[in-house]
Amino acid sequence: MFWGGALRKRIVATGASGAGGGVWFASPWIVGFLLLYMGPMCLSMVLSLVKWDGLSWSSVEWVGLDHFQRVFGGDRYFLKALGNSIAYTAMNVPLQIVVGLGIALLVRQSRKWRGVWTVVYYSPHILGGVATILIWWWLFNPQVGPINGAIRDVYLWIEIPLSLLGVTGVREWSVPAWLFSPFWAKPSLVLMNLWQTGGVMLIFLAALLRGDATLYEVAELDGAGRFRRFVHVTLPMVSPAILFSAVTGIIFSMQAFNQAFLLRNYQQQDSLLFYVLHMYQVAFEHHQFGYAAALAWVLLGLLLVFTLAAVWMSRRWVHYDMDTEGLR
Amino acid sequence: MSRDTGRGKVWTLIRLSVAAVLALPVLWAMWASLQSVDTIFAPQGTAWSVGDRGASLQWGNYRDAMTRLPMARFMLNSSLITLCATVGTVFTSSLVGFAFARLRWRGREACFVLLLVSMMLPAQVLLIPQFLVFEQLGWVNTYKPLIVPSWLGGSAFYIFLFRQFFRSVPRSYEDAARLDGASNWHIYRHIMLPLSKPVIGAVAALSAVYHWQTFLAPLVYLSDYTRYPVSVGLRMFHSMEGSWPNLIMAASVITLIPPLVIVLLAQRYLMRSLGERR
Repeated sequence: MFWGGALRKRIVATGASGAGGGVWFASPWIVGFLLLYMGPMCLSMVLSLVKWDGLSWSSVEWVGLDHFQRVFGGDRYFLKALGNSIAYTAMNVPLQIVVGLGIALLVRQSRKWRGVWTVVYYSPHILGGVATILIWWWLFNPQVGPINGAIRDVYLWIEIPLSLLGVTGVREWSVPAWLFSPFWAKPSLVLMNLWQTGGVMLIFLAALLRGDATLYEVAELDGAGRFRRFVHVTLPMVSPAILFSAVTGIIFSMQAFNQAFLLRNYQQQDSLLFYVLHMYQVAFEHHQFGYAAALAWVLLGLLLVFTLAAVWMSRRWVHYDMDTEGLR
Repeated sequence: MSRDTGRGKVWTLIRLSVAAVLALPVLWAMWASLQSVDTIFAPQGTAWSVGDRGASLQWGNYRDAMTRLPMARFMLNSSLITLCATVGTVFTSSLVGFAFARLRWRGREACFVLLLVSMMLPAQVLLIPQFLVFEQLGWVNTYKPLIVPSWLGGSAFYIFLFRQFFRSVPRSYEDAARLDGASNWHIYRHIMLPLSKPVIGAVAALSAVYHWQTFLAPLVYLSDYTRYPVSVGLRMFHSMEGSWPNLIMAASVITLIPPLVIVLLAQRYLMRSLGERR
């Protein structure tokens, strides 16, 4: 807080000269950029070329590109972690976009209570901390959790109608082991994220409300039904929002850490060993800071490639003209 | 769009059921936080029979949750971190946003590009080198790595929000003050800040919720458990020998209250600032 006082004095002293002297106002960010971004980036680059246990400087040993060779030479855990993260991202992102758009359409339809619905659907997105993750851990509990409880209820209800059709033993059908199964662990996290689609919903809602409503009337006059209005008016209208959600969603999902770190267990057989979790373990559990830095650079490169690929593939179906018209 | 009311009612019903599904996890946590361990662990329950089992509500669980681990201490720690970090974020990100929006200085455009680039840089990539920088500064096992970055402009996104807002303020406000010899600081403090209540509210709320819940940074930087914030404290609860789902749920429910209150108080500002995001 002393920083604030000193800064203020400096700014008051230099500020009298018109709109100049802005460097002083920007100085917190400039210092932060050098200390928190530039410095660490340079350090990380050097780090990726050395072997270091993170304890004493004397243990630093130059290894050149060995770490990158180890990564691209197909380190087993690297491949496993990358595969897990990509599989998780491939499930998570499309589902988030579909459900987010669906909820945004639901909200737009309500004229009178739009603000209330927005807040109601958005609030789970805010509650993303450890508390929420632990609640879901118990919701997913295979034996005593309410999710499997509800599934067993459904089995009970359909037992009698199905027995009339000659299907028996419904009561004994198995229920998913969720976070205790290598197969269901990733879908569990994806389901859990659906609870927090509010963020994506907000992006789509903004795009929908900005869009030109008269397009719907024109389409209806032309005899377009519900489905065709969705395909030819709504989808082009939200296409920039789809691209934006896809890019941010990929970056976010590829960096998933908290859920996997808290909910991993032996029965999942490494199916929640995500990229960043692997990186964390390499650095802070195995004390291989150099290799972890190399993993970080590879992740940055991958994210850059994914982002550019998404933008490049989108150029055919993203329509910016309608969007910018709404902005004016 | 709903011309006939029958169809409108169906849609309202759908909206209500989605809201109910969203509320269920928190409601279940509240229910579980008031049960005995035996009730929760009763074998092979269905969701329905769970309802019949709720005998008497165990309010003592909340007391136990706060005392089995020093949860009160954790919450105090979190409050301290959140308060210091949020004040810093609002102050410095508005200052920097002002510099980018209304002041002239050499390198402004280049710095703005760097700001946008830093917004896209994944935080996890910087985790390890940042840790080493803070370790060299002797900041490990203190709150400095959690608070000081907030006093250095906070997050690029907040600076961006302030910049967008300040750019929309009419020039004439500023010019009139400048003719009277007002300094940049005066314009920032007495003209810009009073106008920017919605942005301040939104940034303060987002930053407070973020710092209340942040997990990876305290996990990496803090080793002494009496300094833990609630997020890492809850994880300690989760990984302890023997499980008390009812106590963990009680602690989780308490932890969720501050963010919920903040969001409800700031919802007007949040909707305005995020809704207008271009």
